[in-house]
Amino acid sequence: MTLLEVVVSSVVLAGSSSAALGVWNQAANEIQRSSQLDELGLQLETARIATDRWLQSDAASAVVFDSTSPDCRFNPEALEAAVAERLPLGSELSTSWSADPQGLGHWLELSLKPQLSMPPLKRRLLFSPAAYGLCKQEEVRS
Amino acid sequence: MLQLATFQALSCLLFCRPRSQAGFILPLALTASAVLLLGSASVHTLSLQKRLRIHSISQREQVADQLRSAAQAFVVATRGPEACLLQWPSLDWPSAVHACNGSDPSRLSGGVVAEMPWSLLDWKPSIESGQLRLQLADGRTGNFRLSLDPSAASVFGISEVQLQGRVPQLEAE
Repeated sequence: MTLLEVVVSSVVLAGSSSAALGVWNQAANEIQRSSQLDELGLQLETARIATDRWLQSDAASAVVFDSTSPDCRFNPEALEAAVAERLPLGSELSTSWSADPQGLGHWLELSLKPQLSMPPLKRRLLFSPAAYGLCKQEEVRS
Repeated sequence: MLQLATFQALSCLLFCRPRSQAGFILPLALTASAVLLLGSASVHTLSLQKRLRIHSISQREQVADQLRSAAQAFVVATRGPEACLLQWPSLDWPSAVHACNGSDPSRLSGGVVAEMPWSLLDWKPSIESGQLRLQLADGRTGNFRLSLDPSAASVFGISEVQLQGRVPQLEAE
């Protein structure tokens, strides 16, 4: 063992340790960020399922269906208020309802509130009262 | 002469060594460095895999949402005279139109939801439900079970989507 060997070994070990530490740090940040995204994605999916299940319930039909409209549609204000009241979301998530331009129903947009460290995360689904049996057929032609 | 002797002594201290004391520090340091770098590369690969998995789940959910929206649009289209067609498999609709006054099977065969065209692949009714297969313009397909109200020939529930792989485009066939 010579002094030169010790010096060279130290330099090699210090360099590789520094590089490895940097990579580990970056990987740990990436894993933490991915876990947060995973959790937020799960919250969006839970909100979607909860909205769907609630619309299937009898309670929903009495609240959100616009019985005064001849063309079978949701009451958008009642729908938004009822979902917001009954399905509390996390503080990171936001919801918005908008009418479909073709009159097919209403679009629910579930999204992540803007955060610098997170990419945009969004879900968009069409909901129609007809799909929940709320539009009664006046007559059956057969 | 003294300087030369001193230089030789220093040189020997730095570079000379008996064969029996062959260096082990440098190989040890190189091995430890290799282990550290390989370990960090593995952890980095794991983090990238997790990121890719989340991206893949997100894409899958987007497709599922588009198919769910297309299924809702299909049900909306079954309101009116077309509700009668739900009693027959989609293959029999051309002949079933005679039994369903005013019905138009083309209204149920496809549409556009949020700028994404969809088409009906198959509809198979049974006693109180029916199997619906829809395809998006990019070739992705999904299966749904629709709960039917036999007394009113209308839909009152859509099951969760079962995603399938891409199938060849109808236009390509």
